Amino acid sequence: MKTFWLSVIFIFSSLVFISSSSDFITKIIARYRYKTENILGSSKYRYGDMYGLCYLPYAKQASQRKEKTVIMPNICPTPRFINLYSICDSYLWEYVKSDSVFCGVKKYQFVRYGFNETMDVDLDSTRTNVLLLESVERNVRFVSLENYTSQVRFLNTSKPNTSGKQETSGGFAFLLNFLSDQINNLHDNLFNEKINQNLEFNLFDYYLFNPVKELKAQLIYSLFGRLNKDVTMIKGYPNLFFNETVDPASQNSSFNCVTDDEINSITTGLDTLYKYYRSKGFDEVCFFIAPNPVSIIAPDYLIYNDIVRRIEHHPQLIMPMIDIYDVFDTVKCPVYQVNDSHWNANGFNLWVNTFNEYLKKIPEKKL
Amino acid sequence: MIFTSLQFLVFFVIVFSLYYLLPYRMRWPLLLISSVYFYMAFSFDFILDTGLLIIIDYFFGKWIAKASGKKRQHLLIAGILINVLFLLIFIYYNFISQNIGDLLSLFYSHTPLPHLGVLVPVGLSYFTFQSISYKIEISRNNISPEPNIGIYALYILYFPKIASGPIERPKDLIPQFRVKHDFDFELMKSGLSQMAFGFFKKLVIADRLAMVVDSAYKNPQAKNGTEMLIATIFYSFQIYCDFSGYIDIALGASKTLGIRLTDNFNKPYFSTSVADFWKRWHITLSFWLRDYIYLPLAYSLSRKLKKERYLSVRSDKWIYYAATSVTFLLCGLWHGPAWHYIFWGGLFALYLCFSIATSKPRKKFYKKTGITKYPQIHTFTKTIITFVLITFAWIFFRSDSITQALLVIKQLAGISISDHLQLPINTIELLFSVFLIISLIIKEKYFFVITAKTTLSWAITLSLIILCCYFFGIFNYRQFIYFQF
Repeated sequence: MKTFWLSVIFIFSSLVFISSSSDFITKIIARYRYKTENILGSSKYRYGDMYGLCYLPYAKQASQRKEKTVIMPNICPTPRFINLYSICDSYLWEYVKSDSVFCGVKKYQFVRYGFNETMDVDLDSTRTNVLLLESVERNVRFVSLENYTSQVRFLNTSKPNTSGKQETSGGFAFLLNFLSDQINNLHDNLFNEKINQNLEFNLFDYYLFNPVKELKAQLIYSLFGRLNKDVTMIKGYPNLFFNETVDPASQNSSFNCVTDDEINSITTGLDTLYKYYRSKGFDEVCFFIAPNPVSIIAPDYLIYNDIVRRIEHHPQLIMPMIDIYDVFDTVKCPVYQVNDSHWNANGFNLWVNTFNEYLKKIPEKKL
Repeated sequence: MIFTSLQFLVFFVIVFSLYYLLPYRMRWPLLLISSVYFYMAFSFDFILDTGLLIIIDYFFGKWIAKASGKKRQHLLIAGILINVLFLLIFIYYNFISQNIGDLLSLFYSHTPLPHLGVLVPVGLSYFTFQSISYKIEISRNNISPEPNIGIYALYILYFPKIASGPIERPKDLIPQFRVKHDFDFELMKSGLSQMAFGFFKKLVIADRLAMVVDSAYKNPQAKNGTEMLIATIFYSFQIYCDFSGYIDIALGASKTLGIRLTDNFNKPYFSTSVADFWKRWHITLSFWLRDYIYLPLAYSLSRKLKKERYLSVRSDKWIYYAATSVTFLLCGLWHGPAWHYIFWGGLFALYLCFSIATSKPRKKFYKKTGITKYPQIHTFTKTIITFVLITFAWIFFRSDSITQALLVIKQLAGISISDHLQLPINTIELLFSVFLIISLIIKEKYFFVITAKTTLSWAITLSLIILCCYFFGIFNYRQFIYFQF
C-alpha cells in the first residue's frame, strides 16, 4: 500500500515537474487551458490581466480582449491595395480579429513583439507595403533597432505566413517536436528559469481555485490595504493599474522623470528604425504608442512626464506617428477596461478609426 | 531553487517518494544526484569549482590519514590553505584589494588594484568550514577518511543544508548516509510539521517584517527615531524567523528522509547573557569557531604566556580577551567581506570581554540591590538587557556600511513622542506583526514543539499552518538572508 501511494506521488510530481520545466509542453497545455471554460480552465486572462494578477472580486468582469469587438470603421475607399505588416503587442494582436477592419488593406500580417516568433516578409512590389510598429508607453523608452528588427526575416520568394502561429499536428509530429525541443534545449529545460511560473500555472491556475484566491485577495485588501505587488489602485478611480506604470521610481512609469536628452535619443532611435525599414522596401512606416491607462485616466495623480506627446510632437521626428493620445484625452467615455491593462472595445474602435484615417491618405502605387 | 519556491516543493516530493521506492543501496546516489541538481539550479557554473574542491579535499583527507607526525601537520595546513585560498579568491579578494588600494592612495596617486569579476559559489563559506572540519577531525584521529568519494561529495553537497547550513560535522552526518532508513510515518509527520512551521516563520513573519525593515534601511535619513526603532526591533525578529525558518525547513526535509541534521537555534532571544546567546544562535557556526579557532588559539596562547599578571590583569583573562576578539572578528568576516560585518563581530567580542572584566563588580551590584532574591525578575532583566545589546549589534549587521549604521543610531537617538509614523504597512498590519512576534515568543517560551498525537489532529494542525501561510504569507520569492553568506 505504502509503495503504491509513493509510486502515485512520484509519477504525478515527476510529470508536473517535467511538464513545467519544458516551455514547449507548457505552451501546449496553456493553449488548451486558456480556451477551456470549465473549472479546469485557466483564470489568468479570462477576467482581465489585472484581475488575473490580484483576484479582487469586484474587478471580475469578462475581459473584452477575448470577445469579438464590434468594429464600425469610418467609410473606407473600396480598392484594397495595401499589404499591412505589423510588429505589435497585445493591444493589437489580441483585438484585431479580421483584416477587414483596416481601410484599403488586402493582406495583414503581424508578429507578436517580444515573443520568440519571426515574421517572414515577402514584399509585393505591385502593392503598397505599409509597416506599423507599436509599443506600449511603458516600454517606449526601450525602443531600439535590434528589438524591432530581430523578429523580421525578409524573403526573396513567397512563402506561407507563419507569423504568430506555431503549428503542431498529429501524434508523431508532436512527439518529434517534443523530443527535438528536449534535446535542443536540454540545459534550459533542466534549469528552466520560468519553472515557478509554469508550476503555478499547472498546479493552481484553475477556475476551481478562484473563490479561494478571491477570498485571500479581499481579506488582504480589506485588512492590510495591499494588493499583488504588480497591481495598484488610485484613490477615486475603480481601475486596476500596473504598478510599474504608476510607481514614480519605475522607468516604465508615467510619473518617472524623462529628460529632453532622453526624448531626443528616443526620437533618433525611431528615425533610425524608419530609415532602416524604408531602405528595406517598405513604402510607408509608422509608429504607434499605446498610452498607459493611468496617463489617460489619472494623469494628475502625480506629475505626468508627458512622454507620448513629447515624442509625437518632437520637431526633428521623421517617423510618422499614429496619435491616439490626444483622441483619448478628449473623449468623455471610458477607453480602458477596469480590470485589464488594455483598452476596451471603445478605445480600440477609436484607434482603428484614427489609423484608418492614416491609411486612407496613402496613395495607390502607380505601376 | 529557494526553499519557499514551488520548484523546491515539487522537487522535494519527487526526491522523497523516490528515496523510499528505491532499494537501500541506491539511496545515497539518488541524494547525491538530487543535491547536484539542486546546487546547479542556483547556477550551472558553480558545480565545476565546487567539484574541484571536493576532489582536492577528498584526497587530502586520505593523505592526512596515511601521514604521521610533522608530515600530517603539514598536509593539514596545506589542505586548510587550499580552502582558505578558495575563500580568498571568491569572496575576499576584491575586499582586500580595494582596501589595499585605498590605503596606498593615501601615500601615492590612486591606482586601483585589479578587480576580480567572479561569482561566489552558493554555500561556499558553509561547505568550506565543513571541509576544514573533515580534515581536522581526520588529523585528530576522531574519524577515518571516507573511502567513497560519492558519499564525501554528498556530505558537502547534501541539498537540505548546502545553501545556508547547518554546518555539519563529518562524524554526525557521514555515517547516516550508510544507515538503512525505513519509511517512518511518525518521522515524516514530525518532519513535515517542522517544514510547515519553517515556511510560516519565513513567509508570514520574516517577509512581513522585512517590508518595514527594508523601507527604513533603504533611506534612514528620511525616517524618524520611532520608525527606526520599530524597524530595528523588527529586524531582530526578521533575521531570526528568516534563518531559523530556513533551518526548520532543512531539518524537517532531512528528517523525512531519516537523516538528522543539527539544530542551529535554541530560543536565542531568551538568552540571559551574550555568551549564552552564542550557545543558542547559529549553534553549528559558533561551536565550529569554538572548536577550531577559539580553543586551539587559547591553548596555544596559554602555553606561551606565563601565569602572571600583565597590567594588573591575570594572564588567563588576557588569553580570553585575545582569543575571543580573534574568533569574533573572524566570525564577522565569515559573514561577508565588509567592514560593517567585522565591526559587528568586534562588537560582540567587546560585549564578551566587558562581561568578563566586569563580572565581579556586577555580582556585587546585584547583591547590593537584592535583585538575586527575585530570580524571575533577575532573569527577565538580564534577558531584556541581552536582547537590547544584540538588537543594537544587528544595526551594524543589517546596514550596508558603518556610516549607514551610525546614521541609523543617530536617527534612533532623536526618538520623540511626537514622531509621526509613515510605515509601508498600515496600522492593522503593524499590530498583526506585533501579534505574530508575541505569539512566537509565547510559543517558544511555553510550547517549544507543537505536538499532534493522532494523525487526524496532526493533519488538521498542518492544514491550518499551510492555510495561514497561504492567506497571510508574502509570496515574493525573497531569498533567505543567510543565503548570501
